Amino acid sequence: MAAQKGKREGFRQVLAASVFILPNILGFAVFTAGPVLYSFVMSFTNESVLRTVPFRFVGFENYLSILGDKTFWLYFVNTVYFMLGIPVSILLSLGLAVLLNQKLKGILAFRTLLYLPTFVAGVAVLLLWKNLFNPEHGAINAFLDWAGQSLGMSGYELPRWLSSTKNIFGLDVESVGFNPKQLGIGAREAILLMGLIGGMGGGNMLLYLAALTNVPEELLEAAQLDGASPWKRFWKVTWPQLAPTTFLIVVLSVIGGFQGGFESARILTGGGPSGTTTTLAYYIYQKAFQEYQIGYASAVAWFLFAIIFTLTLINWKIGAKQEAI
Amino acid sequence: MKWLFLGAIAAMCVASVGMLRWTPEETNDRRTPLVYVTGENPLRRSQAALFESMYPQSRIVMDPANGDAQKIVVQSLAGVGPDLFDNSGASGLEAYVNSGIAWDVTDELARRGIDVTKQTFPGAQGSAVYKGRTYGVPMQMNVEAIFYNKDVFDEAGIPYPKEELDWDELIALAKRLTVRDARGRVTRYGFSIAPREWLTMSAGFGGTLYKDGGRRSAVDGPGVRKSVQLIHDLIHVHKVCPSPSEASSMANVGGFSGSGRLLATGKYAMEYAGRYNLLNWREIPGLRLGIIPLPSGPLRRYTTMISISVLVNKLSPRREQALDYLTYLASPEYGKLVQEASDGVAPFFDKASFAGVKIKYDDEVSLPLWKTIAERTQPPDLSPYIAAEATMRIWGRHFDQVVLGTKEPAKATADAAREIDEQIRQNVEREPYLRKLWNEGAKG
Repeated sequence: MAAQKGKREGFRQVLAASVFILPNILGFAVFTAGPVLYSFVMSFTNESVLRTVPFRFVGFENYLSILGDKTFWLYFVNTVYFMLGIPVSILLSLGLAVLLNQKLKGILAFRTLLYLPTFVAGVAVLLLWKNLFNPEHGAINAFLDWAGQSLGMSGYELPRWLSSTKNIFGLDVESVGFNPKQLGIGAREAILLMGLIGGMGGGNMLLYLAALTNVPEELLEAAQLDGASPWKRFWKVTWPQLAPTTFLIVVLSVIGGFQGGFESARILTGGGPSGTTTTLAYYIYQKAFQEYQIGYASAVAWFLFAIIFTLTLINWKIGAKQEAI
Repeated sequence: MKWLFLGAIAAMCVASVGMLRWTPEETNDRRTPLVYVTGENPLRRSQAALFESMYPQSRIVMDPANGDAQKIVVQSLAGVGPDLFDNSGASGLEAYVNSGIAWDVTDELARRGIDVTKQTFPGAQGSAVYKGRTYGVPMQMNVEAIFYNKDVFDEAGIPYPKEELDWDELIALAKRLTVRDARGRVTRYGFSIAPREWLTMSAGFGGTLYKDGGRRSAVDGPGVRKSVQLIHDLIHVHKVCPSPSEASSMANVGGFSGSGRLLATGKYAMEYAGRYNLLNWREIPGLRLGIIPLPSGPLRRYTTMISISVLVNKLSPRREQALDYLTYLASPEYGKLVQEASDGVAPFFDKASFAGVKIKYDDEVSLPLWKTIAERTQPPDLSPYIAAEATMRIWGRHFDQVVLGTKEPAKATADAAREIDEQIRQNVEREPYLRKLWNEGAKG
């Protein structure tokens, strides 16, 4: 009798829980899982919006085409290039979080001010950057020119930023390789710099700030009593305590990095000059919505997912190992 | 807590039902609403108002937020598309036709006495006519010419160009008008033309995008090479024309008023621009402009990329009423509105006179000039084997380098042609229906 009552109670609880999560599950199924599944199936077809293209299953043809798609690999390099700023950006957000974790008068105001830019619309920020990078009248080149003249330099050439294909690694424009003529500073560095500054504040800083407030005071006090310097206290006590947060931020940044670059390409550069600021996310858009190759674009999206998934697994493995140590 | 959550869900359900039941008050407006996806251009409102006065049984509901082709296609296929929508080019039309959205209105228009292929300029038809069938009516024919600032010519003591120049004469004139400061920096460019106009210029030299029925790219042909070389030389050899980054650096205001301002303030002596710029220039006190055609090469042709047509959604339940709007676009009343507003020129030119139109510049009323320019236009060619956007994406990667001065035009055109051909080969190899088309064409 009691067992039956318990069962009934359990069923009621499951029912109540189901009612609560149903709206979310439905939304997820219709707006996320459904399209994801659809795109997976489409990646094995030649699906196109154009009705003149007879629909057919192509097996792994799209995936094999990606391997030989020179454009894909050029844009893959661009995508990775823009992720080079991630470590520096993480360090900078940690630095900011440490500064904002000080017990100072009015620290709340500083925290608010530094988080405020997150609320500004992305398009507005990009337009601001566009003006800053203006090679003739932009603030960045004005500063560089002033610095050059102050140091008594002459005959230097200021970067053309968004209108140059040059880059600090001398990556070629038309193939994945080195071209000494491309050495310099150009659009890729402009996007890199934007990502670096943009990633400094905001979410990462907030995560670090939350993690820093959770570092046990007694550990820090004990280290101080033992005569540890501020740097040693940070390096030996605080930093290890931040490991799970750092791990989370690295994973999220890598995922975000592979998915990024769409806004800047769409609004700022159109993916140019010469495709140097086109990332895989923008390439998927071009293939799906400009060339109407939904099947191929889906395959690129799933290929990208496979890369992200593999890297995240590697991250997890490394993270788990470090936690074990 | 459980009751709190349940209460919240119940409240949301009640609110949703309430919202569903609460519909805006019925109006007595019995006119048929026609949803029209068009741009933010303020002129569209006055154009719609004129339509509503001529066709009182219909009213236009503007929808400027859903202008992207993919949105129109997806919404239409889902049954919630607009009744009318703008299309601005040949490649867009191809996509609308092939996705089954554009309604073939050839016969319907013929019954109303309209034949787009005979009554409009060739350049205007690219966005309306596909494979000999008519899918829309051109609402605006973008015509461009070289506008020059008369004050700059007076200051330099150079007589106004009265007749059409050839490219050598134009470059020589631009050199005389270009001014540099003591450090050698240009303070006034003699001429400004957007690099993308290579396509406009190429038709004059016989340049096309494809050859052999679209089987092969023709961007490495002499026509395109000549026009690309001209763009390159204007910027990098003669240095009389700003590069895009120099142009954007000089413009203190973005948008389409920016470039116009540079001509008005004398930063450019001459500028190749659309007639629609007169909308802004008319408002600048004291500005005196002259107009001459762009050199049109030995063949006296231009390729035009921009002509806007209005298409009817094939899946719309109100498509018969929407046809009225297309009829209206071919009317003299609409044509006069376009001429007066400088929104390009009226595509049905013979029906739209300049008589009684309030315009400011003497040269603007020169009917033969705009007519000559419009008559020389032709739409860009298409290939069934490759999407126009794919061609332009590949081409853009090479052409950008020409504009930056890091690649020679001959090499850029050759490399681009090779890459486009390779893409065509892959497409044909991959798609059986393209292979069939290819083989049929080869037999033919």
